[in-house]
Amino acid sequence: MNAKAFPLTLDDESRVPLVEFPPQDLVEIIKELTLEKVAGLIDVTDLKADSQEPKVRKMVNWALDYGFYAICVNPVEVDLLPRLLKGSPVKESYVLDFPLGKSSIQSKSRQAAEIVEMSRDLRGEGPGKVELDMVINVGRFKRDRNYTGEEIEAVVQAAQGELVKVIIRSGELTEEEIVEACQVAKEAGAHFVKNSTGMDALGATPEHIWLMREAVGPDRGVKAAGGIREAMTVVRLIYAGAKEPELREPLRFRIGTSSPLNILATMNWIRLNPQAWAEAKVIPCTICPHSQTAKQRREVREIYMKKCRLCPYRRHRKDKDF
Amino acid sequence: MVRGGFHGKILRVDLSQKQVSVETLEDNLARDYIGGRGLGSAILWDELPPKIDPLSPRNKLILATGPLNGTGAALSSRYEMVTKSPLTNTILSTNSGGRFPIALKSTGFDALVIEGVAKNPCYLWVDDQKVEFRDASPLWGLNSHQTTDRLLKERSPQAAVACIGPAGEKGVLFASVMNEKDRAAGRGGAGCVMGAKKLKAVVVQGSHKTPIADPEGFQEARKNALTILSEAPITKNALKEYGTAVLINIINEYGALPTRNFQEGYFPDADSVSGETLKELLYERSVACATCSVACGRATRTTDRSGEGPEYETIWALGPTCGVKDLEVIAEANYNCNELGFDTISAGNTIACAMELWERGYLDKATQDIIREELGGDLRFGNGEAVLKCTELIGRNEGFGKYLAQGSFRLASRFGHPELSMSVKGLELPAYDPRGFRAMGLAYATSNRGGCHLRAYLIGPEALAAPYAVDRFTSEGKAPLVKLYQDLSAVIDSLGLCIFTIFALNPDHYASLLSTVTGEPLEARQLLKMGERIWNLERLFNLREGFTKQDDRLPPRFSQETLPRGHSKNQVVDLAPMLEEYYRLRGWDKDGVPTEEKLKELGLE
Repeated sequence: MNAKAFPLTLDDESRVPLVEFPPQDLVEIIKELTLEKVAGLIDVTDLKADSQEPKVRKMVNWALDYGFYAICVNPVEVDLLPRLLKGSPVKESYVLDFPLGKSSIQSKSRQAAEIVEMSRDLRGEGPGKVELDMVINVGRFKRDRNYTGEEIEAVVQAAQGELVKVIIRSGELTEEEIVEACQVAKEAGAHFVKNSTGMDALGATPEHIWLMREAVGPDRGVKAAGGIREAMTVVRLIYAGAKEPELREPLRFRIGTSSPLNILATMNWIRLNPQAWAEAKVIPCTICPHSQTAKQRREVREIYMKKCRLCPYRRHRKDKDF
Repeated sequence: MVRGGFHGKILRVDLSQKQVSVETLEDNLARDYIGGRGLGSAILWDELPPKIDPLSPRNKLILATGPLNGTGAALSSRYEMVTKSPLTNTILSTNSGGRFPIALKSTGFDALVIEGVAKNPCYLWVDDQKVEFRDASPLWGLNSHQTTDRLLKERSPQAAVACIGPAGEKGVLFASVMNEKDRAAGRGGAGCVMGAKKLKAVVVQGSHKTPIADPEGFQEARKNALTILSEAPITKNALKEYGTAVLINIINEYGALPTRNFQEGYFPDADSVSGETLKELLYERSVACATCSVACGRATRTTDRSGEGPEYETIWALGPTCGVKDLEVIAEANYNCNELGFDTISAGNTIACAMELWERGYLDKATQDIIREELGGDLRFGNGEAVLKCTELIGRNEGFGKYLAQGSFRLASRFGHPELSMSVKGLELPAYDPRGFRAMGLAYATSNRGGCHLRAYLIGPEALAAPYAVDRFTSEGKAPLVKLYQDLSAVIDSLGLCIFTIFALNPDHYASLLSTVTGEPLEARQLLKMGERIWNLERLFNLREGFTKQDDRLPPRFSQETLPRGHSKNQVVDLAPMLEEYYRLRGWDKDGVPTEEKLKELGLE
């Protein structure tokens, strides 16, 4: 079932998730995407525990060479990244309270302010160069939506007008909760919603990105992150989250990835022969949240497993095709 | 004017007359066919009369370099041997890496065309532009390691040697040409052609640098390609860590690791022969071709012997498809194949075919007696010692080895069961069961040199998610991918690059590398058109030799017998619809013959 036929009701148990895509729609997206345009949607990311300065420098060089939109790193790099990016159009993006989001509202707020101030000091180029990817406290969200609204508002305020992306950890949420988390983020003044830290039970699945876009509408950004390593996944996520061409700009749609070069390299493949790749059958389970239940919390896993059992593509899971 | 990427010279060697001549490389030949495989195929098409005996003096052996050899581009040390195959009677291009390709290019010749047959065993010594015929009588009978050592001592330690072992001398139809001792231009029997010409070796060294038309642009393209290769998951991690044998567990998990002559797709003891186990038990160090950042080769040591390999295909051919799970035995059988000089894939398949013939009781009593006497026992699946012994017999082409040395199709046909030969056009299949990988099935059936994975390595999308994962069981959408990969593989082989670059680079990278070397602007689409031209020329060669649509087929096992267990259980291949779509996309008629319009479009009319 494609997105056109995808019903808005979330409680329809027979609904097939967004795992198939009309080839012609993909071809149109591919034709419209230049390499520069794809690069301009990418946040080059490295959030590993053992990342060191040479990797940050390498990422900066990639961004300057290929035109990536931002570099996304841990807050500790704020003493280096602004210096490296000075004079360039590339944005700095720092994750906040990563990856669990379990710090207090005050702590998140203080860290946000500190990052923004330090970056502005070092870069000396005024506002508009920093972005913050904050993680919500999912546990609190489950029982208190207001708490989540408060923590997002606090960070938005501390960010002094800089762009704030809210990581909702969609792999921990039911579909209803995904929609609600996005709505809370939007009401609290966040500029973007983002599905995952990249360390969650689920990476970026078109289904969740579609839900998030539906929830925030066209005047907020959606960032897809987690497990995005090649261009066809990018194209599918664009289909899900930025189907309208006007949404394919960095303030409305973003890709977070640690494999930006591979994405550009594989983008060239599909640009050269869009029809062949669009018609090649992708394995749907790799992009389906219902099949990736191993790390999910129990109540979410049970919902998804139930749907997976009904899915016509279940054989791929049985045959371990991914 | 000489184009960048080329010295502009072809060396023609007449072994019968002991004469050499130097010819100018025609500019349009390099422009239309790139170099390497394309250049060799074009020369062979022009010069070889139809339907000659591949082992006759009239056959030609062409050693062709690509425009990227000697430029310093990453993974750019592959040369191509092009000839008519004695195993399949198709066109054969088979390539090898190591150091030899760059040394060959540095002689100042872009290609060597070898004709005729020598009266006595000889070798060719090409030192820059000087060419000598040397007596190889003292070398005749020596294995590839001994031959290489002797020639390097005799000529120059800086030289590079491509030679045949006893298998090539004695007419093993799938004999290889070995360089740097353990690197093989392995498939299809180029070594047998070389042996028939009584040419023991080609020894090369030189000081000619490959000209680069736009050095600055080339350095940029080279750096880009190297960066991508250093970051792509497969070339960055998997191949580097475990070599190609990393695939054993992966393909087995897919239920598509051919086992016991393709009767099964799951080998329960796969882990005992995996890349991970090889690293624990046999690994000494990683080995890289010149200019390679991946280093997928493995230097290994068993209790008594040492050498290079075994690689993935070899482990599988001498292991699971023969039912063998002893990695040390497999490694030693591989050493035999390298030293005696023959193709491990064809050898393993042929032994597996013989094992199935044995187990089904299809061998006559006289043959069974020969086997018992020579092997000291039976030839059942799982008998590792028998496999080891068989590799010795094949290399010497004696006893039961004479039957095996003819390849599986002739062996199975001899005993009335050609259907048990797991081959296409007479070339034995590699280590991916098409019942588990549909696109590979179409790629095998349509390969111009017979059953081969390297003419379109669709394991990338079907198994390794490179560039991305496609449904391996569906036939839909596979024909366009097969065509794309075939055309691109022809380009890669013609440039002088390693096929593993396909896991990281895309057609634009190849176009940038070539255009900056030659100095002629080129887009990826034009480059793929060149690949298509090469593919169609190879097809025309085979059609001229009498091959037809009937030869674009798979062994009946794949459409009639399902796999009994594993994650490709109950699968069969339905080739016909894929083939029909493939012919249409290629611009061929229903019989698989290129239409006039297509030939005109490609400049092949």
